[in-house]
Amino acid sequence: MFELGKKDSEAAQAAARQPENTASASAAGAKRSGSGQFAVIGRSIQINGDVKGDEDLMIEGDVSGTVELRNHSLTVGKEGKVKANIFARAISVDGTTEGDMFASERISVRATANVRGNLVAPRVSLEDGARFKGSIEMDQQAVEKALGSSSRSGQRTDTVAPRPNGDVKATGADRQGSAAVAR
Amino acid sequence: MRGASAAEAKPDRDAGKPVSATFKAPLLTRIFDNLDPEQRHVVLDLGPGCQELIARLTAERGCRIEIANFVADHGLEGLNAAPPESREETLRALLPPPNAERLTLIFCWDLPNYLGRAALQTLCALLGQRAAGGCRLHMLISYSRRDMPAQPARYVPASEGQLTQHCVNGERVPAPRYSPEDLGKALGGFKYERGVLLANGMQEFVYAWPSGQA
Repeated sequence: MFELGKKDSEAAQAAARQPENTASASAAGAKRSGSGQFAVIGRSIQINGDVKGDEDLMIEGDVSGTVELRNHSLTVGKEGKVKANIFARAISVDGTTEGDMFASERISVRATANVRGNLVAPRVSLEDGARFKGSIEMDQQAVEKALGSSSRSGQRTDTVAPRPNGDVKATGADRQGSAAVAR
Repeated sequence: MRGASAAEAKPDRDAGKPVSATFKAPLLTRIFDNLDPEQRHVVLDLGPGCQELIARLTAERGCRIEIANFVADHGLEGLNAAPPESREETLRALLPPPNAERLTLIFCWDLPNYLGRAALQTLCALLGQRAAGGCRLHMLISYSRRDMPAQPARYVPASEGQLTQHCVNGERVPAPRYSPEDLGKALGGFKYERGVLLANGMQEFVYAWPSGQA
């Protein structure tokens, strides 16, 4: 099984390079994690299934299913395509998403983003140029209700890194290291 | 450029360049000022949405905002090209899925200028099905000018009761110049409340969905 948390020196080097090639928002996402640690799903990785984890994550590849990082941040990079319901502490989107997003702190839809779905968070920002279609719910009670109900239905995992629960595909390019965990 | 239409400046020399203009929108100001902070509002913006509008609305308690963004993904072109028998279905697909909560406020800025009369009529019938009693429909239409930009402009609330119009200089098309009577027929159950002719040649309208009709 493909593990995104696997410590591979070549992959780690690639992940360390990754933020330099992404938008400033992505770099900011790395800074927000404090220690600079975050996992990266590289641009040629495809995941069909559930992604759960206990660290910050950047998605530059394709993910379909659900993404659950309840206490951490998710950044969907410019190349990222996510077709999933997303649960996280903070969500920042530079790429393309389809599905509902639930964040306990904030959701940022950046200028390059193309987002379809419903956003539920206490704070939501929509940058000029972003393409958005859906609804925005910032009522605190609605946020708590949405996040509370999802936590009852979802199972917490104790994994160190996000582990996809489903199918993972990588092209040859990715075997050379664009899917990795930056440490 | 205050008081002037954004796209009327030098269309040939400046073709393709973005232009913006700010104008006063007194009826919109009145709507914002009269939002009851104790009431939960459910707002539908048929345009692309913007941070300024979100910030203005969520300054009030408990607000849900639905953004239909008709111009995204060639939605408007698809609607206008749809045969009459599939018009309603196309419009339903462009609107957000129905929610348990009824709409209390609808923004329809510039869009009627780019919809045929039949499409506007169908749209308003669908909006009426989702409107709460007393729901306000705020519209901006081109009125005194004979032409308008080929694509709908984007409107962003600015300070002191103003709206900023953003569009691209270039091709212009004839404006439908709906009269209040024409609009009244197209809007079905929505009842006219007030209209103001703005300095930039647009007309601002407020319609309301009657309480008994919800």
